[in-house]
Amino acid sequence: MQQNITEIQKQFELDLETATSEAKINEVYLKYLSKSAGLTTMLVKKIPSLSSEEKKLYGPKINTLIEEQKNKINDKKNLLAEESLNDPLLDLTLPEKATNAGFLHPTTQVIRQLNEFFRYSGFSVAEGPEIETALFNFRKLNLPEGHPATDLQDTLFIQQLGDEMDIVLRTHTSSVEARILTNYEPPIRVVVPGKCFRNETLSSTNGAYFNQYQGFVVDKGITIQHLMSTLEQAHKYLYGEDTKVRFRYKYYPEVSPGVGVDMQCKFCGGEGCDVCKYRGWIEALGSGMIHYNTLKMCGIDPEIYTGFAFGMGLDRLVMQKFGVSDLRTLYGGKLAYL
Amino acid sequence: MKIPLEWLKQYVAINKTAFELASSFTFLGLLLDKPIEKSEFGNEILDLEHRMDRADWLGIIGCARDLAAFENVSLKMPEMHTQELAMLPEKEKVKITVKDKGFVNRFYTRVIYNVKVKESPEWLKKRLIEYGMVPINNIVDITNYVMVELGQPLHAHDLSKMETREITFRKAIKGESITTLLGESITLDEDITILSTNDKPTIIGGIVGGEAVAIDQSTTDILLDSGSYDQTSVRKNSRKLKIINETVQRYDKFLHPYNNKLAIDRATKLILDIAGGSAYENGDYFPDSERWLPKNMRLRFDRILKIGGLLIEKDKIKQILTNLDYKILKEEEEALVLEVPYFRTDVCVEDDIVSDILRIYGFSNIPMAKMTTTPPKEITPTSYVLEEKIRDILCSIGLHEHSTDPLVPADPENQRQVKLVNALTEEKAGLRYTIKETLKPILTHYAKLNLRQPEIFELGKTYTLEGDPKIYENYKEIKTLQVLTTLRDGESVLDLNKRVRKILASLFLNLNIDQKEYELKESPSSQNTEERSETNKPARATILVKDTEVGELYVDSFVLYTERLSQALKDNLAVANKRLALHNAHTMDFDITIVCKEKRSLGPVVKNIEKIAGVGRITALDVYQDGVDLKSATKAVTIRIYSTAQKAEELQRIKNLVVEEITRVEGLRTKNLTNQDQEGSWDLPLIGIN
Repeated sequence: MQQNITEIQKQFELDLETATSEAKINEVYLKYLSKSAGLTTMLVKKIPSLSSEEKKLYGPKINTLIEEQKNKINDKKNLLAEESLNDPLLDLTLPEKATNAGFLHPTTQVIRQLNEFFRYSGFSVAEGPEIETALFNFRKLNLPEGHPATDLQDTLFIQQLGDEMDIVLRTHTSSVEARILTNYEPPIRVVVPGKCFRNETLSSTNGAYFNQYQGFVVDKGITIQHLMSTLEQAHKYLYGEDTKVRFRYKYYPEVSPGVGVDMQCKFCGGEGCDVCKYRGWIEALGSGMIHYNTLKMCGIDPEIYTGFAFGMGLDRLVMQKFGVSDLRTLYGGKLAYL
Repeated sequence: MKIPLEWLKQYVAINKTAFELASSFTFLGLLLDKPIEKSEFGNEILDLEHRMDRADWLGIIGCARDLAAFENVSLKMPEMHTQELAMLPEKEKVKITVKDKGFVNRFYTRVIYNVKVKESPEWLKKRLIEYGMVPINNIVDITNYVMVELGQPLHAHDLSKMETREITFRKAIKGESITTLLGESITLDEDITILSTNDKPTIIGGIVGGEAVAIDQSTTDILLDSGSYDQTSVRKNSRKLKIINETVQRYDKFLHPYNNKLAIDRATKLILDIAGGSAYENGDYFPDSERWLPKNMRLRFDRILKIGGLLIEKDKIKQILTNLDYKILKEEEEALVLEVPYFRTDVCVEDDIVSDILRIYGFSNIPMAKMTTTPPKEITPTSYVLEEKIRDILCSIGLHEHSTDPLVPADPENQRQVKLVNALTEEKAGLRYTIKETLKPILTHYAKLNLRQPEIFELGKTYTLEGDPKIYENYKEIKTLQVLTTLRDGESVLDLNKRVRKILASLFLNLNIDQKEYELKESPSSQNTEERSETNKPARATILVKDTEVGELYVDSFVLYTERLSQALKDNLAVANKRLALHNAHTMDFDITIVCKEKRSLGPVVKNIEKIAGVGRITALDVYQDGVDLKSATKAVTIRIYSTAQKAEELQRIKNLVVEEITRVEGLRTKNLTNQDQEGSWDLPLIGIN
């Protein structure tokens, strides 16, 4: 046994001496101290077969040996670490790329930025079903049967059961507005980020699947002035204090009056260029005062309460912000974070 | 809608540049759609975006009316034929029979004898060319001109080419065909309403004329019609036949039948002036004319205040309304009673009139005001808050978030898949059943780019049908977190799965879910390899949090149903401070190896060890084949047990109980009990979130 101990100790010293990297030191550790097959560990396993006198003699020696070997390995590791500090190749000032954390999807990042503004303004975030009935997707939003927007050409149907019983994939996040207005008492301030669908073939800029961001407020005394102020603030928050917005009339069936919101083109300062199609302004979102009939159909008295709503497509915004030129990259399995 | 400015200025005398006029139209609701063009004759042309509501904006006069009101200048209407015409003798009349009554609202006809068909005068041809139309002959050009001017399509038939002096509106017979003015042969079906003469189709109602009765140089006598048809039917059938032309674009809006008279008067005037001849009334089929009387509506002044938030002088309100052709029938103290112009078929509620007032008053003249009322109660769902936390945690530990299109090919074998009835492509004819199926291609993409195989996730929905597809409630949308990775170079399946379990453990740790609160329970179908291959199901474990099933774990992935998880975690979404405190505490830990005789899952045994007082978290350190000590043993698992013991005696008590718990189970034994005392060491990343 003594011979064994001495031999192992000797060999260990030699092995450790020649180990000049952390990986090599770990190999030495495994060779002698591995739980299942380490040479020193095996000595421990032999103890039960020794006589009681031998046990008294070699037991403590083996334990001391294990401790010594552990300490020497640690010392060697520390020494190596110290020595490496003197390595002339060590340069603390070189730049390195960060790889540790993962990335949030670009659309999530934009949604979060929008949520941040609206949550500071007292808005909750709501969600709703993507498989919808025509009742919530169309009728309650003042889109009667036969309205062009309800056509097969524009809407993806799951079941055609007639009028408000039709089961469709929601064509806009306004369906969540209809649900919230139906299920909650005013005052209401809500934003809805979400997936929507339409009957369109996939191209670089359009697809059957897209993302929208919707918001609405219903309370006593809400006027078009609150709509304008909220949306101007939102644009300044997103694009900077020097951002200019303009409001113009634009028809949407679920609001009256409908309000188109444009942002002055930052590329040409309103002079007109390729980016803004020589308008000087870029269409940012659609909005308006919630239609009298919508409030009524959702069970809210439009003589007491008024409200505004706004909605925007997220994908174009995301593509612009992150320099993605093809929608298929964003959602079609062709996105990779480097 | 294209507006040649030279044409527009015939109705509105206004001295503004094209850019300024485009800006005015944009504020009115007619956004400049394309850069301002110049025609070959040097005139500027605006191309304005038309929304679906305003049928009157499909005539230049409709746009001019709003511009005149906005700029507060007068509108000059074009000249009409105002003299009464003689009725055609009965025997010469073209008899109109309407079998499809639901389709025809009005059908106004006149006969003009002895016209001279020739080229149109230069001014007319120029205007049509600037609008984008090809001049054909004076009669056809005039019908087109009036359509662009007033928004009402017209049609001229060559009387001599009509086999009989009668027109019948009827549904087509399936298989019947017609050759259009453009020479294209179209096969019809019973949904489509046609105009027929001698039972032969001559026109597809509201969509396109046929060549059989077309006007040409030999024409001398014409029947001029001005019809009003059911817009839904025109829209559906034109889309079905894939014919979208200037006529369809107008008829698929809500055109008021009063337009018919106006348009035929204007066309009569132009034909008599340009092509000569003598005109006669043929008939006015207008069966339900009372239904179309202009609407009377009441506008309260305080409604303008309620929507616009500002007081507008009464005189200004009246001026705006009058300029837009509203008739003020009565003035009350607090309201006006109005007759809505017939062509404003879009005006349905009082707020639409308020809209008109605010629009013409100018949105830019309305001040802004911040909302000052108290924000309402927060109603953000807890599952949304949870998902946001999950995103943060997973990104912090190196996972990438992806978002994929939930539309997938329909699987005829899968009765529970939600399928679409009118998808444009087979690749997008159903909704995904699992997120894994749409997320997996992302890994392939990383491989193609020679990037290291990442760990990725998506938070989205899966969709299933649970029963009768006609019942809406049977469609289920399940909010799901899908985490997915794949084998890396040189990696074993065991290590792959260890990575997956580690992600789950890190997520739960940072969601403040104590290890004792969750369990991985192997699903019965995947207990052993043989059974797995029999059922062709991948190895799967159910993830339970507080005894609620919240997801499933596979070799390379796991899913969590976030709504269920959120329910199970009602109390857990607090700050992880408790764990941060533990992080710095001295722990007395030990490792122990469990050896089992047969292939079996050791998760349940570990769960029982967790129940021992003083036992904290447990992690698996190593799994290996162990055939040295025990012949029949196939598996040895070393686990590390973190204890709350502060003294050696307490630690010993815990160790004894652990050994007892293991050996209590038949076929299990222990070995290699080692102390691992250390200062706050955690092998899972803990993220300092609040």
